[in-house]
This record gives sequence, C-alpha cells and structure tokens, in this order.
Amino acid sequence: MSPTLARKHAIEPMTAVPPPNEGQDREVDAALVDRARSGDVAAFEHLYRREVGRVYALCLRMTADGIRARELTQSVFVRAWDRLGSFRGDAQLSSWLHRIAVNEVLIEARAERRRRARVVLAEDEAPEHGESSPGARSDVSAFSGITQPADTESRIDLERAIAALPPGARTVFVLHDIEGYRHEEISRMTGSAEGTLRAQLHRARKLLMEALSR
Amino acid sequence: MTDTREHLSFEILNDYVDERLDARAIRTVDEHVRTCAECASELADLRDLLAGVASLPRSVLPPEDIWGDLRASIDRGKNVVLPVGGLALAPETPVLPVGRSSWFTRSALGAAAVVLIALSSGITAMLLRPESPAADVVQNPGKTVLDQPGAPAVLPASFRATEGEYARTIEELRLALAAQRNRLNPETIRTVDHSLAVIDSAIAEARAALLSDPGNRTLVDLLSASYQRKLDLLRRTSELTSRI
Repeated sequence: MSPTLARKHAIEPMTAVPPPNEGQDREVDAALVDRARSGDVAAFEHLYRREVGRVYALCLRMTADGIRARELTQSVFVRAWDRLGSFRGDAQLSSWLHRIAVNEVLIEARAERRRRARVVLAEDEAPEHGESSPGARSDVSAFSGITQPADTESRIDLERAIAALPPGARTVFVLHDIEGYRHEEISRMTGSAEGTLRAQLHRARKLLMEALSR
Repeated sequence: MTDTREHLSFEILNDYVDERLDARAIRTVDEHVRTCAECASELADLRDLLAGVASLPRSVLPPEDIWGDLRASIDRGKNVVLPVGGLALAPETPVLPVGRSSWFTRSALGAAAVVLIALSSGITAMLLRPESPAADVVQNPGKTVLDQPGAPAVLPASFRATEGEYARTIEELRLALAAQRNRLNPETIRTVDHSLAVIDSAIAEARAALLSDPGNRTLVDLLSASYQRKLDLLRRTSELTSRI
C-alpha cells in the first residue's frame, strides 16, 4: 500500500444526514413510538426520516447493490412498523432498527444463496469460484451524490473496494469495522464461529489494502 | 512471535490494532516494528485503512425517497382482507425482503395500493356528493337511481370507471404472478385458482345485483370489497413466491 494512504484516506467526516438519535431524548422516542403503535403514521414517518439514512447505508454496504438496498430498507421499516409492539424501550430505537436491518440483510442473503444454488443445480453448472456473488454488482453510485468534491475520489475508492469484497468477508467487515459490532455479536447473528469471522475480517482488510494500493 | 527477527503475521498485526493482545505480546510487536520497516509499513497501512473506514459516513440517504412506497405497504397491511382458502397469512407475518426479480411485482403492488386508495375515495365521493343520485338514494332508501330522470340502466358511470381501474390493476398483478407461477407447488396453485374462482363468482354476483340496483351503496361496497379481496389474494400469492 502506498505510504500516502493515510493522506489519501484521511477523509473529512461526510454525513449525508446528521447522526441520528445521538443526544435524542428517549422520552421523545417513546412518545413517537407510542403514537406510531396506535396507528399514527405521521409519528412513524418522523422516526423513519430520522433513521432511514443509517438503515440504508448499512443495507447498501452489506449488499453492494443499490436496488436491493432500497428494497431491504423498505422491508426493514415495514417490519419495524409491524413489530413496534415488541419494542420495549430499554434499547435505543436506532439500535433496535439496526438489528432488524442486519437480520433482514442476512435473511435475504441466505435466501439469495439458496436461490442461486437451485439455479446452479438446475442448470448443472459448476458453482462460481470462491464466494463472489454473480448476482451482486458493486454499486457505489448511491454514495456519490453526497460527497464533498475534494473527498469524492478517495471515499469512492474505499466504498468501491468494500463493495468488491467477497460477500462473506464484506458482511463481517461492514458489521465489525464500520458498524462496530463485536465478534461475539456477529457470531450470534450469522451463526458463524468467532474464529471464522476473525479470519474473514482479516481477509477483508488484506484485500482492501491491496485494492487501495493499486 | 518471540523471535523478533521474523516478520509479524498479518493476524498478529490485526489483533494488535484490535487490542486483542496481552501486554507481553503488545511489547513484542512494539519492539519489532521499531526495527522492521516492512512490518512497520504494513501496520501503518492497516491503521490508515481503519482510519479511512472510521471516517466514512454512517448515514446515507437513498437516492430517491422511499416513504411513498413504504406508506403504501403500511396501508396495505392495515387493510388486510383475508382471502378464502388456506393461504391467509397471519397479520403479524413480517414481509420478507424480495429479490430484484420481484421488482415489477412490487411496483405493481404499489400501484395497486394507490389505485385502491383512489378508488375508495372516489367511491365515497361519488356516493356522498350532494348532487349525486346515489347519495340521494342513500338518504332515501326506497328510491333508486333508476327512479331518477335519465337514470342509466347500467352500472353507475363513476363505478364503471372504477371497475376499469380495478380490472387494469388486477391484470397487471395477474401477469406478474403468472411469470412466477412455476415457483409455487401444484397444490398451492390449485388453492389459489380455486380462491380466485370463488372471488370471481362473488364479483359476478355483486355486479349483477348492482346492475339491477345501481344506487344501492351496500352493493357498491360489496363489489369493491370483492375486487379488493382479489387484489389482496394476488398480492399475498406474490409474496409467497418471493419467500420460496
């Protein structure tokens, strides 16, 4: 990797929307959730507008596919609406939504793998090598509209490299290094052993360093 | 790792930056990178990568607002009409994400929801309009539209337009479902076909009754509900195919 990588990737903080929920009063959350539970769609829209950026960012980075990310984001909020009754308020609403989003992406990824496996069997073709997803395409265009011009190139390079990771490595990398989940939490969510996850994470980092040094 | 003349493994460097090493191992890494330019460079690159990742935005808005579609999904869930037969899903059944292949179906469903809202409003407006013969009939149950001067001997014109919208939307959904039909097992297909036939029969009956009594609000509601039930069955079946 280039020794100038530090400068290249010393990206200014660029948030498309203000960081959600930080400093928010839980009482405000509770009031909005109560209203939404009683069928107040306007209250739910308020919660949606505040959280949609984080949910979409997670879905986009985990799938590397803008269309799927949009569909998944919608599914996350539909499911959240259905499950508002189970939100107890002992966690932040954003964390609760985030967990739903991770589950949605992982469920969809498993279903996609099963669908692909059936197609491969039906067509009697050899499986694709490695973990790369033939259905997935690296889609970083969705990130490009929100960047500040001076930072666009380096950040898009990084987003593109993340999107190009093999799905398994990308999932662990996004959850651990971007979203801040611990290995044991990811292990519970994915059903993979922690040792496997650490190996995937190291592999992802190695691949990213190689990609960014080119 | 005790021999500082060997390069540090990438795993050790990762554990180092992740603070997973004990104090002794940390000292060993510190000593090694002070004298090994190659490992020091790799460690610097790893840290640079993580610094770059840490500065990525945590929040990214979708390129287009999805609230409209989301609102339509919520509204559909609020107005669940269970189909006949054994295909009804529990109201709390979560909507599973679907793949890109069902995008057309989702678009059609979104359109259906919009049409449903528009139709409901349209029917209500037609019936409650003060100058509407139908409204007059509602207020005077013994009187029908046919009793009005120039009353049509067919379905009320406004409902004919409504019915046309229903028919177009149902056809869109039917075509979308037909494309995914082979993903359902034969028994499910038979059940769906039977349920559709029952609903079609109910639609035919309600329609015939409304033709005989065009001002009867109950029949308008019954016919609308039958059309909605058909839309709902098609929607639920599409959802089933997306879960397979």
